[in-house]
Parts: sequence; C-alpha cells; structure tokens
Amino acid sequence: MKIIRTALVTIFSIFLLVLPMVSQAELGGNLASINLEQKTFGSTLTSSPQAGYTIYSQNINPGLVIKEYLTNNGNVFAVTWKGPNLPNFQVVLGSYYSNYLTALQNNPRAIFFQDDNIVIESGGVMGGYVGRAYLPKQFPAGMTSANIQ
Amino acid sequence: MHLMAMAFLLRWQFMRGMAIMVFAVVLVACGGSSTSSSSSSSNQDSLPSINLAANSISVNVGAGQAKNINTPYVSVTICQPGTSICKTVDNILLDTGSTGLRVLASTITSLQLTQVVVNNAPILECASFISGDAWGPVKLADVKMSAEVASSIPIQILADPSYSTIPSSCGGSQATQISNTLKTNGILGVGLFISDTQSYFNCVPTTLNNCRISLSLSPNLQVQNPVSAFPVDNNGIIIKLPTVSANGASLITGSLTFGIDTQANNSSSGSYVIPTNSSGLFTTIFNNTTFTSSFIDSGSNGLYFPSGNLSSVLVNCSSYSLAGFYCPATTQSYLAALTLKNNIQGNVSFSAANAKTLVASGNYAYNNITGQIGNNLFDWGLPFFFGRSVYIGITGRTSNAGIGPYYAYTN
Repeated sequence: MKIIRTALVTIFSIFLLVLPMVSQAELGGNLASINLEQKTFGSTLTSSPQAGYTIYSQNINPGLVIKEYLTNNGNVFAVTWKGPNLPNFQVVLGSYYSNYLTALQNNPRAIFFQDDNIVIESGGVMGGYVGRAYLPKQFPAGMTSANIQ
Repeated sequence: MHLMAMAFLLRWQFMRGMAIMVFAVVLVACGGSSTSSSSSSSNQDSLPSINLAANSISVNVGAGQAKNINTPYVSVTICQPGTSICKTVDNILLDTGSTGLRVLASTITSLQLTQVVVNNAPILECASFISGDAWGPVKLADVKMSAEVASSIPIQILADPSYSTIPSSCGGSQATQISNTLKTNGILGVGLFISDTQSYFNCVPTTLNNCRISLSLSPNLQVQNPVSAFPVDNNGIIIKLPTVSANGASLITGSLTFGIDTQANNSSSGSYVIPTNSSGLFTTIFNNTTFTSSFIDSGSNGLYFPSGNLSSVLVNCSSYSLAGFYCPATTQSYLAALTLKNNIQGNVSFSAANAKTLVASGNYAYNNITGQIGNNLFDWGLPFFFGRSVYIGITGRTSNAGIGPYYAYTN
C-alpha cells in the first residue's frame, strides 16, 4: 500500500514539474494563464486597477471568489480565495502546488506553509473557507502581506 | 522513513493525530507493556452511540477506529427511504465544520440507495475539506438518530467503486481524497447550514469532461444537514462534553442533542450567543489581535491560531509527527474574547501545553493542544467543547437564542 502511494506521489511530482510548461500555472503565472484558468473554471472575470498592481477577480459556482494580484509587469504575485468551497489548488497554485501538498502533509487541519519564496494559508469551515498564497519576493514596491485580503 | 512515508498520506485533519498514536503504540509495544492489548483495543475500536433521549444520543471521544486525538464519534442509522431496511454505522465523525452526511460505500453495502438524477445522469459531488477533496455520488437515504428521522435526504457516498475515477476538477487523483485518509466510517456534518453549497456535476464516469464545470444545483437536491430535515427539533443542536483534566483523558462520553429550546432538555437559557456572518465566521480578539475568520469546529482536533508575536514562546514542535502543533516549554494560560450578540465580549480562557509531552501520555482527549494556522483565522476546535455545552443554530431557524446562523456556549 505504502509503495503504491509513494509511486503515485512520484508520478505526481513529475506531473508538477511539467505543469509550468503547459502554462497552467496561476500563482507565478500571467494574464494569459488567468484567461486559461477562467475557461477551466467557467468563471466570470473582472479587473480592478490598484496603485502599482491589478486585481483580477473570478466568481466561480457555487460562490467561490478567487482574486489574483498582478504586477504592472504582468506577473501573478498573490492569490486569495473565499467562499463556500475551496479552489482547485492544482490550477490556482500552479508550480507551487507541491508546497501545498507539503502543508497538507504537515498539518491536514490548518494549511500553513512558509519559506523564503512563498506563503500559503488556508482554513475555515464548509460554507466559509478563506485563504491566500503569495510570493513576497515578487511584491511590487510598497506592497505588504496585509494588503492581500 | 516509516513515519515520513506515513505522514505523506495524512491528509485528513486527524491524521496527524493518528501518526502520533501509531508512534505511541509502537513505543508501548517496544516497552513490553503488560496491558492486554487485544481486549482493550477491541473495546476501544468501536465507540457506538447509545440513545439518551428521543432527541439525544451519546458522543464518545476516545481511541475508536481512527486512533486519533480529539475525535468525536457518533452512530447514525441509514435506511433505504421509507423502508425498515437499515444499517447502523458506528464510528462516524461528528463535525460542526461541515454540512451533511458522508459515508464510505463499504459501510453500507447491504443498502440499495437511490441515486439523485438530473437530466437522466447521476449527480456527483466534489466537497471541499481543508484536509482534502470528497468525491462521490449523491444518493437519497432516511437518516435516523434516536427517535429523529430525516426522510429521503441527499447524502454523499465516498469511495464508491462505481465512481473511482477522480476528475481533474476534484483534485484529479486519489492523492488528495479524504476517503483515503479518513479513518472513521464517515462524517456527520451538523454545522450552521441547511445545504452544503459545494461543487456538483451531472456526468457519468465515461464522460469526465462533463465533470469540469459545476452545476447550479437546487439547494434541496444538495447534500443536506440531517438535523434541518427532522420534522421537529430541527433548528440546531447542542453538543455537551465533560471537562478534561490538564493531562487529558483516554475516553470521555457526552451528548449530541437535537433542537434548541424545543424540548425540556435543550434550553438555551444562560448561554452566550455568537451571531456569525452568512459564511459562519465571527471575530475573536486574542493577544491584541483581531481574528475576523473565527469558527467553532468539532472536526478540528486542536485550537489553531497564528502565534504572531508569541512565536518565541509558542514554538512549533520539532517532532515530525507533530508538525504544526505548538510545543511551548511550559504550559501557557491565555484569555481570548469572542464577539457576542450586541457586540458584548465573551471571555474564554484556554491553555497551550506542550503537545509532545501531552501525546506521550497516550490519551485521546486533550483540552490544551494548540497549533499554527494562517492570518486572520482562529479555529476553536474540539478542546473548546470540553466542559461546555456548545449550540449550533441553523441558518434561518429560530430559537430563544436568536435566528441562525449562530453559535452559543455555556462556560
């Protein structure tokens, strides 16, 4: 059983390595990957310019709101989610999905991952999930994590 | 390596607890304990509920099937609608953090439940848990606890062999499926809501592309909170668990009572009421920090909050199997304020003990185990329930405590 699962994990890891090349990456992606994601989710997409960055917001059935933060250079440096259910983390976190799996492994109840490159936080109850993931090194000037809500 | 390999599989919220217990069991075995493991483990393996009143059943927190810390177990009787063809399933997780009954297909093989069908195709669900995805068909069942019956309500069947392929929209693989890590027979979601508002799909296994975009499924076809479907005592629940000492307990027994202010045994008088927003969240103030995404969840095995500027005291446990728990050098005593009705603050005291020291005792119920979670979140897990009555007021339903959604508690 364990061996089978380990093999699965290995296959999965290989898949993750390939993922950025198919440009499905979200966090760390760009506007093109957001548009691709919108088709995957069948969502509506709106944008909201801020000082130094733009927030792209998607509403996905059954009420999940995903917001992606893009630098003026077009890089996704943060994503937040809020809603009755959770997003598809493979799509939303892209090449950082492996960090999510690590967080899930460490603490299945309260998702928390932090290293020099990325922070992932996810919690709540069914009907009221909230979370965010961000890349501190890619923040535009003046950005702090408190601005990512 | 063994623990690491194990740990990767631990996706359900209690699995970390299981790793601890597996480790503890190994230690006992190595130590040549004279405990009669065969009899004690078989007694503890199943912790069925007994009926306490027409509207009340017992709740056990102990080793049970999962061998995880702080896991509340109940029994639920599942029947083919309108018949006496039933199966009582023990060892179901009592979860105030979700909505609806989900049960492993393997526990109800004697039943033939009707599949919910729309447009001549079955309705399949992907339900979100922090610990992973729950994929499976939606079927109709009568759900019974003591004398209460929810007739012909949608429930979700997990690990159904007829739907073993997981679409990409639900994680895409078995890797994140909670049914692989769930060590209970199912989950009884008796939270604040009537319908579960998750992703539903109208597809068959051979057309997984049709399982890509979720349906707008009518709320009454979605998986239902069984309590909300009872003819009476349907406005909420009360969970009452006894006090646990600072060293924990191996097994405690309390009650799950249906209805609030509907019978002589479910009065809300004297309770502190926490109205929530429509998402079931409220505000906690702790350590001069405001946590706007607070919730009360019997399905969480600890109290989870960000350590913030207490991080030098609330250090993370170094043990791999305890990753995410706090291991302070000495037990810390804290006070938090919950936002009650009329913006009054309700003070709640709690302790953060060293998780490694605690679990070394081999107990299963602890009121002082704490851990890390993200920004703005405060997860009042099962330790909050010990020594209290906790009320869950269902959305839109009225009691003397108010109109749901609300939580309430007694100290």
